[in-house]
Amino acid sequence: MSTNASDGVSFEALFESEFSYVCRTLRRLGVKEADLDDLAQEVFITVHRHLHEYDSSRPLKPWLFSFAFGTAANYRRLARHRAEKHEDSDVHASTAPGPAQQLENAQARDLVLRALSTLDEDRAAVFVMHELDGFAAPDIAESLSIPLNTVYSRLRVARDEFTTAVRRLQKGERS
Amino acid sequence: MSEREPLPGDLEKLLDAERSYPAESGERQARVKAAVVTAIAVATPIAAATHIATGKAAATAAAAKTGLSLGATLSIAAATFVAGGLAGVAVERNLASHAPVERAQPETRATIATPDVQLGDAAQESPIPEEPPAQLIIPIAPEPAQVPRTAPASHPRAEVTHAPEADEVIAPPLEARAATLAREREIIDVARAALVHGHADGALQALERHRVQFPAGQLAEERDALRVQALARFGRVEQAHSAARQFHANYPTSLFAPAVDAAVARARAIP
Repeated sequence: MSTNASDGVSFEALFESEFSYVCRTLRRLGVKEADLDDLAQEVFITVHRHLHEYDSSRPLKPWLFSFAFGTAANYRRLARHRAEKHEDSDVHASTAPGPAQQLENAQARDLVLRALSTLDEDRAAVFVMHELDGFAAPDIAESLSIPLNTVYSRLRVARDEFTTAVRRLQKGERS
Repeated sequence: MSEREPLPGDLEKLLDAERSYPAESGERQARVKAAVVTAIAVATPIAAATHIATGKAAATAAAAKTGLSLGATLSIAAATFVAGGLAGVAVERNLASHAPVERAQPETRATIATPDVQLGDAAQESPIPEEPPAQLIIPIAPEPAQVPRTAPASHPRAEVTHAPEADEVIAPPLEARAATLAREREIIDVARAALVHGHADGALQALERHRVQFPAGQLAEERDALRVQALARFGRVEQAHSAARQFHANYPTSLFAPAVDAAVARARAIP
C-alpha cells in the first residue's frame, strides 16, 4: 500500500474514491471521451508522484483538480495540432436513447460541455471549480496558484461567457 | 464568494444535470487502474531492480499478474519514483522520507545490479574513489544463485563478484554516469509521453533513437518494454509478439514482464 506516512493518505484509496471526479473534471476541461482513459492515467501517475506533497488538512479535490487541469491543458495544446483527428463530437455518444429524463440530462450535459469548451482554459477552470464543484474562492486560488482577486475576475468573465455560449448554442440548435 | 450567486434558472438546470453526472463505470476504473499500476511499475526500474536483486521479484511479478497488487506495486514505485539521474536520487530521498514503503535494507544494497541504485546509495553512503575503476564491481550477498540479474544486456560492463562488505561498493565516475543516465531518461520520457498521448510514430522514433545512442544503456530494459507496448498499442501485432519474445529472452526475470505480456494480450491489429 502506498501511503504517505505524514498524513495517512493512501494512493489506492484516493484512486478508488476520486476516479470518477478526475474523469468528470477532465471531461469538463475539454478531454474527449476517446482520450479519457489515457488522460486519467496520466493524472493519477502525476498524483502518485506528488502524493507526499499533499497536505491532508486541505481539501483533496481542489488539489486533485490542479493535476487534472495541468494534464488537460497540455492535452488541449497537443489537440490543436491534431484537431483533424478529434473533430468527432463524442460527447454526443452520451445521448444514447433511454428514458426521457436520462436523455434530457445527457443533452443538458452535452450543452454544458460544449459551452465550456468555448471558454478560455483558465477561466473554464475557475468556472468549473466554483459553479460545478462548489469550491470556495480561497481554495481555487490556492489550487491554481493565482491571486484571490484573479479568481473573482476570471469567474465573473467566465459566467458571462458561459451564458453567452449557451444562448448561442441553444439558438443554433433551434435554427 | 463563499455563497455562489445563482445563474439564470435555465442555466442552473443545465448545471444541475452536469453536477449529477453518474459515476464512471467499474470497467473503466479497473482498466485505468491496471494501466496506472503498470505505468508506475515500468517507471520505476530502480525499485524494480531492487526487488529483483533482493529476491522479491518473483513475488512482485506474480502479484502484478494477478492484477490485485495496486498497493503492493505502488509501494515499490513510491520507494523510488525517479525521473533519472541525480535529480531522481533527490526525489527518491524525498519520497523515502515520507513514505513507509519497502526500502532496500543495507545488506541488500550490496546486491543491487543496477547502476541507478548505485548512483543513489553509493553517492549517499559510500565515499567516491579518487580514481574511477575500469569496471563496475558490485558485491552481492552470499547466495548468488538466488540473486538473478534483470538486465544483463543492459549492463555489459558490470562484473558481479562476491564481497563481504556492502560498503565496499566501488562506484563508477558519478558525474559521467549521471549525465548519461539523464540523457537516456530524457529520451525514454519523450517516448513515454508520446505513448500516453497516442503518438505511435513519436514513441517508436524516440525508442529507436535511444537504441542507436545507447544500445546497451542503463535503461535498455525499460526501452525494450516500452517498445513492445508501443507496437502492441498501435496495432503492429506481429512485431509486438516478436519484440515480446525477444524481451523475455533478454530479460527472463524482468519485472516489466507482466506489463509486456499484458500489452501483447491486448494488442489488436489495426487495419
